[in-house]
Amino acid sequence: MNIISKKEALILGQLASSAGSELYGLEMVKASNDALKLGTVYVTLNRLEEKGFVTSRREDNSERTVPRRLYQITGAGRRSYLAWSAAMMAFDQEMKGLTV
Amino acid sequence: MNAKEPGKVFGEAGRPLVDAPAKHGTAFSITLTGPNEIQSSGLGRRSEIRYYRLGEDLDRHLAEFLQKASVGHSPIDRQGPYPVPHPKIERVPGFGLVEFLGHFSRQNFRERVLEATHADLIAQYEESLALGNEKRARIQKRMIVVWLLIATFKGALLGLLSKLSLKSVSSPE
Repeated sequence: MNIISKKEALILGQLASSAGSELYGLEMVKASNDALKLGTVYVTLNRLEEKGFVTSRREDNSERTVPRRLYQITGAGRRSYLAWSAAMMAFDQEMKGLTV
Repeated sequence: MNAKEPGKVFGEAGRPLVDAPAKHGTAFSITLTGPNEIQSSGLGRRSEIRYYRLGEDLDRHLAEFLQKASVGHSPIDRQGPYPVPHPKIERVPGFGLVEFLGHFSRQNFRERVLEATHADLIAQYEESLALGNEKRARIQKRMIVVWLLIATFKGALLGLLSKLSLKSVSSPE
Protein backbone atom coordinates (compact mmCIF):
# COMPACT_ATOMS: atom_id res chain seq x y z
CA MET A 1 0.00 0.00 0.00
CA ASN A 2 1.23 3.45 -0.87
CA ILE A 3 1.46 5.92 1.97
CA ILE A 4 0.81 9.56 1.10
CA SER A 5 2.85 12.29 2.74
CA LYS A 6 1.38 15.67 3.67
CA LYS A 7 2.96 17.39 0.68
CA GLU A 8 1.76 14.68 -1.67
CA ALA A 9 -1.75 15.05 -0.27
CA LEU A 10 -1.59 18.81 -0.77
CA ILE A 11 -0.65 18.35 -4.43
CA LEU A 12 -3.28 15.66 -4.96
CA GLY A 13 -5.86 17.93 -3.33
CA GLN A 14 -5.03 20.76 -5.72
CA LEU A 15 -5.17 18.46 -8.73
CA ALA A 16 -8.44 16.91 -7.53
CA SER A 17 -10.04 20.32 -7.11
CA SER A 18 -8.90 21.53 -10.53
CA ALA A 19 -11.91 19.79 -12.12
CA GLY A 20 -9.89 17.56 -14.43
CA SER A 21 -7.76 20.34 -15.88
CA GLU A 22 -3.99 20.10 -16.01
CA LEU A 23 -1.77 22.08 -13.66
CA TYR A 24 1.94 22.84 -13.72
CA GLY A 25 4.29 23.09 -10.74
CA LEU A 26 4.49 26.87 -10.49
CA GLU A 27 0.69 27.10 -10.35
CA MET A 28 0.61 24.66 -7.44
CA VAL A 29 3.39 26.51 -5.61
CA LYS A 30 1.53 29.83 -5.95
CA ALA A 31 -1.74 28.31 -4.75
CA SER A 32 -0.14 26.56 -1.76
CA ASN A 33 0.80 29.71 0.21
CA ASP A 34 4.46 28.70 0.61
CA ALA A 35 3.62 25.16 1.69
CA LEU A 36 5.26 23.95 -1.52
CA LYS A 37 8.61 25.12 -2.90
CA LEU A 38 9.52 25.39 -6.54
CA GLY A 39 12.72 23.41 -6.05
CA THR A 40 10.99 20.40 -4.55
CA VAL A 41 7.51 20.33 -6.07
CA TYR A 42 8.63 18.36 -9.13
CA VAL A 43 10.47 15.83 -6.99
CA THR A 44 7.18 15.17 -5.16
CA LEU A 45 5.24 15.11 -8.43
CA ASN A 46 7.73 12.63 -9.88
CA ARG A 47 7.22 10.37 -6.87
CA LEU A 48 3.44 10.63 -7.28
CA GLU A 49 3.79 9.73 -10.94
CA GLU A 50 5.88 6.68 -10.06
CA LYS A 51 3.11 5.63 -7.67
CA GLY A 52 0.56 6.04 -10.48
CA PHE A 53 -1.40 8.85 -8.82
CA VAL A 54 -0.72 11.48 -11.49
CA THR A 55 0.12 11.55 -15.19
CA SER A 56 2.19 14.17 -16.93
CA ARG A 57 2.95 15.43 -20.39
CA ARG A 58 5.14 18.10 -21.89
CA GLU A 59 3.33 21.29 -22.96
CA ASP A 60 2.93 21.66 -26.74
CA ASN A 61 3.44 25.39 -26.81
CA SER A 62 6.19 26.55 -29.12
CA GLU A 63 5.95 30.16 -27.87
CA ARG A 64 7.68 29.29 -24.61
CA THR A 65 11.45 29.22 -24.30
CA VAL A 66 11.33 25.96 -22.35
CA PRO A 67 8.13 23.85 -22.48
CA ARG A 68 6.51 23.22 -19.11
CA ARG A 69 5.25 19.93 -17.73
CA LEU A 70 1.53 19.58 -17.08
CA TYR A 71 0.05 17.21 -14.50
CA GLN A 72 -3.33 15.55 -14.14
CA ILE A 73 -4.69 13.35 -11.37
CA THR A 74 -5.56 9.71 -12.09
CA GLY A 75 -8.46 7.69 -10.68
CA ALA A 76 -6.11 5.93 -8.26
CA GLY A 77 -4.77 9.30 -7.13
CA ARG A 78 -8.26 10.65 -6.52
CA ARG A 79 -9.27 7.58 -4.51
CA SER A 80 -6.07 7.71 -2.44
CA TYR A 81 -6.58 11.38 -1.73
CA LEU A 82 -10.19 10.85 -0.64
CA ALA A 83 -9.12 7.97 1.60
CA TRP A 84 -6.30 10.08 3.07
CA SER A 85 -8.59 13.07 3.79
CA ALA A 86 -11.22 10.77 5.38
CA ALA A 87 -8.53 9.19 7.57
CA MET A 88 -7.21 12.61 8.58
CA MET A 89 -10.70 13.80 9.46
CA ALA A 90 -11.31 10.71 11.62
CA PHE A 91 -7.92 11.19 13.29
CA ASP A 92 -8.71 14.85 14.07
CA GLN A 93 -12.07 13.89 15.59
CA GLU A 94 -10.38 11.21 17.65
CA MET A 95 -7.82 13.70 18.90
CA LYS A 96 -10.58 16.19 19.79
CA GLY A 97 -12.37 13.44 21.71
CA LEU A 98 -9.22 12.71 23.70
CA THR A 99 -8.58 16.33 24.63
CA VAL A 100 -12.17 17.11 25.67
CA MET B 1 31.48 64.24 -67.19
CA ASN B 2 28.70 65.79 -65.24
CA ALA B 3 29.22 65.26 -61.52
CA LYS B 4 25.65 66.17 -60.65
CA GLU B 5 24.07 63.57 -62.91
CA PRO B 6 22.29 61.03 -60.73
CA GLY B 7 23.04 57.38 -60.92
CA LYS B 8 26.50 57.79 -62.41
CA VAL B 9 29.86 57.05 -60.89
CA PHE B 10 32.90 59.09 -61.65
CA GLY B 11 36.46 58.19 -61.00
CA GLU B 12 39.56 56.62 -62.43
CA ALA B 13 39.31 53.07 -63.63
CA GLY B 14 40.94 50.61 -61.25
CA ARG B 15 40.91 53.04 -58.33
CA PRO B 16 38.54 52.38 -55.46
CA LEU B 17 35.65 54.79 -55.23
CA VAL B 18 34.61 53.52 -51.83
CA ASP B 19 37.12 51.71 -49.70
CA ALA B 20 35.74 50.99 -46.30
CA PRO B 21 38.08 49.59 -43.67
CA ALA B 22 37.37 46.41 -41.75
CA LYS B 23 35.19 47.94 -39.12
CA HIS B 24 32.40 46.07 -37.37
CA GLY B 25 33.32 42.90 -39.23
CA THR B 26 32.90 44.11 -42.81
CA ALA B 27 35.44 45.43 -45.26
CA PHE B 28 34.64 46.15 -48.84
CA SER B 29 35.62 48.27 -51.79
CA ILE B 30 33.83 49.49 -54.89
CA THR B 31 36.00 50.00 -57.93
CA LEU B 32 35.20 51.43 -61.35
CA THR B 33 36.14 48.69 -63.80
CA GLY B 34 34.59 49.92 -66.99
CA PRO B 35 32.78 52.90 -68.46
CA ASN B 36 29.46 51.63 -67.20
CA GLU B 37 30.38 49.01 -64.65
CA ILE B 38 31.72 48.74 -61.12
CA GLN B 39 33.22 45.91 -59.19
CA SER B 40 32.32 45.40 -55.57
CA SER B 41 34.38 43.16 -53.36
CA GLY B 42 33.66 42.57 -49.75
CA LEU B 43 34.83 40.53 -46.83
CA GLY B 44 32.81 39.37 -43.89
CA ARG B 45 29.15 39.59 -44.62
CA ARG B 46 29.70 39.48 -48.39
CA SER B 47 32.75 37.58 -49.51
CA GLU B 48 31.96 37.29 -53.20
CA ILE B 49 32.84 39.80 -55.90
CA ARG B 50 29.82 41.16 -57.71
CA TYR B 51 29.44 43.34 -60.72
CA TYR B 52 26.73 45.96 -60.93
CA ARG B 53 25.36 48.02 -63.71
CA LEU B 54 25.42 51.68 -62.87
CA GLY B 55 22.22 53.43 -61.96
CA GLU B 56 19.61 52.07 -59.59
CA ASP B 57 21.56 48.89 -58.87
CA LEU B 58 24.46 50.90 -57.53
CA ASP B 59 22.28 53.05 -55.28
CA ARG B 60 20.64 49.95 -53.85
CA HIS B 61 23.99 48.27 -53.35
CA LEU B 62 25.48 51.25 -51.57
CA ALA B 63 22.44 51.66 -49.37
CA GLU B 64 22.92 48.07 -48.36
CA PHE B 65 26.47 48.66 -47.16
CA LEU B 66 26.64 52.24 -46.01
CA GLN B 67 23.64 54.16 -44.81
CA LYS B 68 25.05 57.58 -45.48
CA ALA B 69 27.27 56.83 -48.45
CA SER B 70 26.97 58.62 -51.73
CA VAL B 71 29.12 58.28 -54.79
CA GLY B 72 30.49 61.05 -56.94
CA HIS B 73 31.75 64.31 -55.64
CA SER B 74 29.74 64.19 -52.45
CA PRO B 75 31.70 63.27 -49.34
CA ILE B 76 31.45 59.75 -48.04
CA ASP B 77 30.70 59.52 -44.36
CA ARG B 78 33.02 56.83 -43.06
CA GLN B 79 32.45 57.66 -39.44
CA GLY B 80 28.85 56.52 -39.38
CA PRO B 81 27.94 53.09 -38.08
CA TYR B 82 27.95 50.27 -40.56
CA PRO B 83 24.64 48.49 -40.63
CA VAL B 84 26.07 45.06 -39.97
CA PRO B 85 23.56 42.90 -38.15
CA HIS B 86 25.00 40.90 -35.26
CA PRO B 87 22.21 38.80 -33.83
CA LYS B 88 23.02 38.04 -30.21
CA ILE B 89 22.32 34.43 -29.40
CA GLU B 90 21.67 34.01 -25.71
CA ARG B 91 21.42 30.77 -23.82
CA VAL B 92 18.57 30.37 -21.38
CA PRO B 93 19.83 30.91 -17.79
CA GLY B 94 20.52 27.59 -16.10
CA PHE B 95 20.63 25.64 -19.37
CA GLY B 96 24.26 24.63 -18.84
CA LEU B 97 23.56 23.43 -15.32
CA VAL B 98 20.58 21.33 -16.47
CA GLU B 99 22.80 19.75 -19.11
CA PHE B 100 25.56 19.14 -16.57
CA LEU B 101 23.29 17.67 -13.90
CA GLY B 102 21.51 15.62 -16.56
CA HIS B 103 24.72 13.69 -17.21
CA PHE B 104 24.69 12.31 -13.67
CA SER B 105 20.98 11.57 -13.35
CA ARG B 106 18.52 9.17 -14.90
CA GLN B 107 16.60 10.24 -18.00
CA ASN B 108 13.35 10.05 -16.06
CA PHE B 109 14.67 12.44 -13.40
CA ARG B 110 16.14 14.81 -15.98
CA GLU B 111 12.88 15.07 -17.96
CA ARG B 112 10.40 15.13 -15.08
CA VAL B 113 12.30 17.04 -12.43
CA LEU B 114 15.24 19.02 -13.80
CA GLU B 115 13.69 20.17 -17.08
CA ALA B 116 10.27 20.77 -15.52
CA THR B 117 11.75 22.83 -12.66
CA HIS B 118 13.89 24.74 -15.12
CA ALA B 119 10.88 25.48 -17.33
CA ASP B 120 8.93 26.96 -14.41
CA LEU B 121 11.89 28.98 -13.19
CA ILE B 122 12.39 30.38 -16.68
CA ALA B 123 8.68 31.18 -16.94
CA GLN B 124 8.88 33.06 -13.65
CA TYR B 125 12.01 34.93 -14.78
CA GLU B 126 10.48 35.89 -18.13
CA GLU B 127 7.31 37.03 -16.39
CA SER B 128 9.34 39.44 -14.25
CA LEU B 129 11.20 40.70 -17.32
CA ALA B 130 7.92 41.24 -19.17
CA LEU B 131 6.61 43.26 -16.23
CA GLY B 132 9.79 45.35 -16.29
CA ASN B 133 10.82 44.28 -12.80
CA GLU B 134 14.53 43.88 -13.53
CA LYS B 135 15.62 43.66 -9.90
CA ARG B 136 13.30 40.73 -9.26
CA ALA B 137 14.35 39.12 -12.56
CA ARG B 138 18.02 39.37 -11.58
CA ILE B 139 17.32 37.65 -8.25
CA GLN B 140 15.27 34.95 -9.99
CA LYS B 141 18.06 34.41 -12.51
CA ARG B 142 20.49 33.69 -9.67
CA MET B 143 17.95 31.53 -7.86
CA ILE B 144 17.61 29.24 -10.90
CA VAL B 145 20.95 27.64 -10.01
CA VAL B 146 19.99 27.33 -6.32
CA TRP B 147 16.60 25.71 -7.00
CA LEU B 148 18.06 23.31 -9.55
CA LEU B 149 20.71 22.19 -7.05
CA ILE B 150 18.08 21.80 -4.31
CA ALA B 151 15.89 19.73 -6.66
CA THR B 152 18.83 17.47 -7.54
CA PHE B 153 19.87 17.09 -3.91
CA LYS B 154 16.35 16.28 -2.74
CA GLY B 155 15.83 13.87 -5.64
CA ALA B 156 19.08 12.06 -4.82
CA LEU B 157 18.25 11.93 -1.12
CA LEU B 158 14.76 10.55 -1.70
CA GLY B 159 16.13 8.02 -4.17
CA LEU B 160 18.63 6.83 -1.61
CA LEU B 161 16.01 6.66 1.16
CA SER B 162 13.57 4.70 -1.01
CA LYS B 163 16.33 2.22 -1.90
CA LEU B 164 17.19 1.76 1.77
CA SER B 165 13.53 1.28 2.75
CA LEU B 166 13.06 -1.27 -0.05
CA LYS B 167 16.08 -3.19 1.22
CA SER B 168 14.74 -3.21 4.77
CA VAL B 169 11.30 -4.39 3.57
CA SER B 170 12.76 -7.18 1.44
CA SER B 171 15.20 -8.39 4.12
CA PRO B 172 14.35 -11.81 5.71
CA GLU B 173 13.94 -10.28 9.19
